[in-house]
Amino acid sequence: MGETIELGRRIELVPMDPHFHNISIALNRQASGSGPVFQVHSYSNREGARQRVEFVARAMALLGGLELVPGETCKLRFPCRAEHLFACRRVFLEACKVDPSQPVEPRPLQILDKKSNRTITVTSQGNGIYRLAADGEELDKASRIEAVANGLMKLGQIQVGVSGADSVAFACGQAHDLLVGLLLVRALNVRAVLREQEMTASRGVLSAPSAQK
Amino acid sequence: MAEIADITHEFIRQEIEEFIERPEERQRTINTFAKARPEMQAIAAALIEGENDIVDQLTRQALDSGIEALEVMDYGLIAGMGIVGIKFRQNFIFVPEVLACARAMKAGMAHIEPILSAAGVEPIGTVIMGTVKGDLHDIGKNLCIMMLRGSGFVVHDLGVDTSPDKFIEAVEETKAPLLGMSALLTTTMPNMGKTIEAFIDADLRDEVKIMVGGAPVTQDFADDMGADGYGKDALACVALAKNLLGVVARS
Amino acid sequence: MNMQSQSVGPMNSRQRVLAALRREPVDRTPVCNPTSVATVELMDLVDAPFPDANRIPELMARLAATSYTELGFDSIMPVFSIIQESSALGCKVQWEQKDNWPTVKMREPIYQDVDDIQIPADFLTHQDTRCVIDAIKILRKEFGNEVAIIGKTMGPWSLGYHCFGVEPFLLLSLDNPGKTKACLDKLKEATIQFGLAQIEAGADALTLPDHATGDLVSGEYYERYLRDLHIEFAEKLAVPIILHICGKTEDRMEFIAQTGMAAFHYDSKNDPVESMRIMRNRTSLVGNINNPETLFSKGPEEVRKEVIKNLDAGVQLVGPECAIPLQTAIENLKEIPKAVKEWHKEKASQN
Repeated sequence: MGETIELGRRIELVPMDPHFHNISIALNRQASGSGPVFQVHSYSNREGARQRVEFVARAMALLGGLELVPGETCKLRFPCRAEHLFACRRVFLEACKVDPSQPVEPRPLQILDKKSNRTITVTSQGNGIYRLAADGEELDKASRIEAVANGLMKLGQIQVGVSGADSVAFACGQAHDLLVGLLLVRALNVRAVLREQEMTASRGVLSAPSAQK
Repeated sequence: MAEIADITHEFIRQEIEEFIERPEERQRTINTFAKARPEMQAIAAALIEGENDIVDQLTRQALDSGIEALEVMDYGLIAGMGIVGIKFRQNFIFVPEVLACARAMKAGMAHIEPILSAAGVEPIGTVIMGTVKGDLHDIGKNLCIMMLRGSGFVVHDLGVDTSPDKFIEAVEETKAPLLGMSALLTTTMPNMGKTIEAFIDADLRDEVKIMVGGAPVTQDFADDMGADGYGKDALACVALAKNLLGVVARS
Repeated sequence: MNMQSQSVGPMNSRQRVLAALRREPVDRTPVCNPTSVATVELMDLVDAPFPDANRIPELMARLAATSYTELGFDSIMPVFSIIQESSALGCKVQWEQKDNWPTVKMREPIYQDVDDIQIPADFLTHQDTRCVIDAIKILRKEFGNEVAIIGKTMGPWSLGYHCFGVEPFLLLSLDNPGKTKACLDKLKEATIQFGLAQIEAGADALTLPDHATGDLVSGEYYERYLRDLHIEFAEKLAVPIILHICGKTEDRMEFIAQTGMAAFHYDSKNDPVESMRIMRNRTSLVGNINNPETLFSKGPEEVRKEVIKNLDAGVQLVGPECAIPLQTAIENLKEIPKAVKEWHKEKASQN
């Protein structure tokens, strides 16, 4: 038969890579004896495609804190050996967006939140727990921190509120500084997070029959 | 509470009795038409039958006789389109018939819109509407736009084959708080997710509520793509738009 | 009831598909694609990206062949998009990029009235119709009688949409049924000519999309405007015809079953058991695995469930419900023949 190969389960796809001749690049999840492994792959046989895919894998390592599986150039895993599926997809998409002519810069654990005009800082507490803080006025500070924490939760499938609404925790109990820094950028803008916040807030409130779902 | 006998137009009574099954919808429709003057009921009846020339003529006559433009729109055109929407949802009529009714509504609105614009009637919200990239179907979108405009929304129609960038530019320019995307092909539906992703990338996702619709689209799909709402037809689109913007209906 | 017979020896893909289209015994249910199963990854695999794969016969053939050589389907269908005939009639086409479908610019219709319709002299030698004819020849030469090669010719209702614009055509159908029928009668010549050319090039069967879908028009419309035309196509095109209509169509399946067409490619909005009941073995069914929610959004397990649902109902040929999204995962597509083979193996072991 043909040249398609067993790659596990495809979990994300960039159909037209803007940095290399519009090839498609996929992220596949594979089971292995030592926990899930993620393979970056393209079916393109174009000269240079292999090198492009390897760059994306290296960028994922630099941006998201994954490590290349020993002896492999396109297979990665998290050092904690946990899955972190959603987060991994996000790392892959970001890695594909990176301009290969520029150095790959990991994201810091601090960011200016334009929406609330505050600097959000995330600090590792150990055991995979991260606490969020923001500068500026007290008014609405707590709710904005909570929203960002929920954004991290949504994007990374991280647990929220383990020791307060201003903290998130990785179930694996391990540190993931690079990953948190990367997700933090997106966590500021996840609209769905706020919708969930609204739903949580409305629980226990009596709604008029016409407003009930 | 009004009764069906309070409606003077026989055709309207027949339409309600034959086609509106849900009790609350039936009562709401009866209440509306019971309040409507005979001239408005006649306009609604002609619209339901897709008679655009008659709607055109009756609308002009009503306005010339001194009836307010808003009344003609609400109790003639929109009320008639409400029955059309219900019949379409229940599969009593199909798209060709709805297009004929929409054509009739357009004929009436051609007289109403200039008056409302000149009077500076306060719109209840602004919406960007478009069919997603790669999709050239716009029947559903156009019906929704007509109903939205009739309900008081300002609508910016981006047309068909709208790229994520075009949606983003439109939201940035107009500051519209609501965006509606439509797709009629299963092959183009994924572009809804791409557009939502593009809004996240552009740091605009918080600024706009996004609703989706189209024949193959479902609530599940809308949720997967990260949309704020899903409307299964033009009537639902208007209700959803109002809900998402927290708008109270004009009394 | 599946037409699997223990007395039927092993068949090749072509034999299997043709037998199923005739509702004759098969060694196992064929996996069939009356519509496109091209994906961006397959385009990369064989270096045949859109839009060129829609316009250059060698690329078209190479990409189409992957349904058989890579995915394990029993058919090859090279006409990925639905624009060929309309382009040859003079419609403007937006060609798009690799990850998007070419589309007819229906906002710039070429016809306003029935008298505008004419099939040009170069209809079959236009680049876009010629491409299909040549691709079929290439595939027939490469694969011989190993695999079913399915062509595609658009029906007159769909051509009406493309050439008049959807809204104008639908309004015409209401305002002037006589004129609408006259339009369809003229447009059908394109359907027949293109179909015959593909048969001559070596097509074993033809998909005939004619989008009188339940999402747009009533079942009565199908009876009024299309049923007799489809009877005519079944008579004039001497290969099995697979009618394709998207959306809800249970209310018109009885009329479709009266046309004599070999098969109906049906959408996931229709229940397999109910659809089989209506067809009463007069027309084979092909389908109906959901595209946007299953093949595109979910995984092999969910694909398998839908395959089994069709097999349990006795559907004669299994496949996706329509042209698949270009980003569909290969493993989901490969799951279809895998699930079919395992279902049959399990049934055989139970007997």
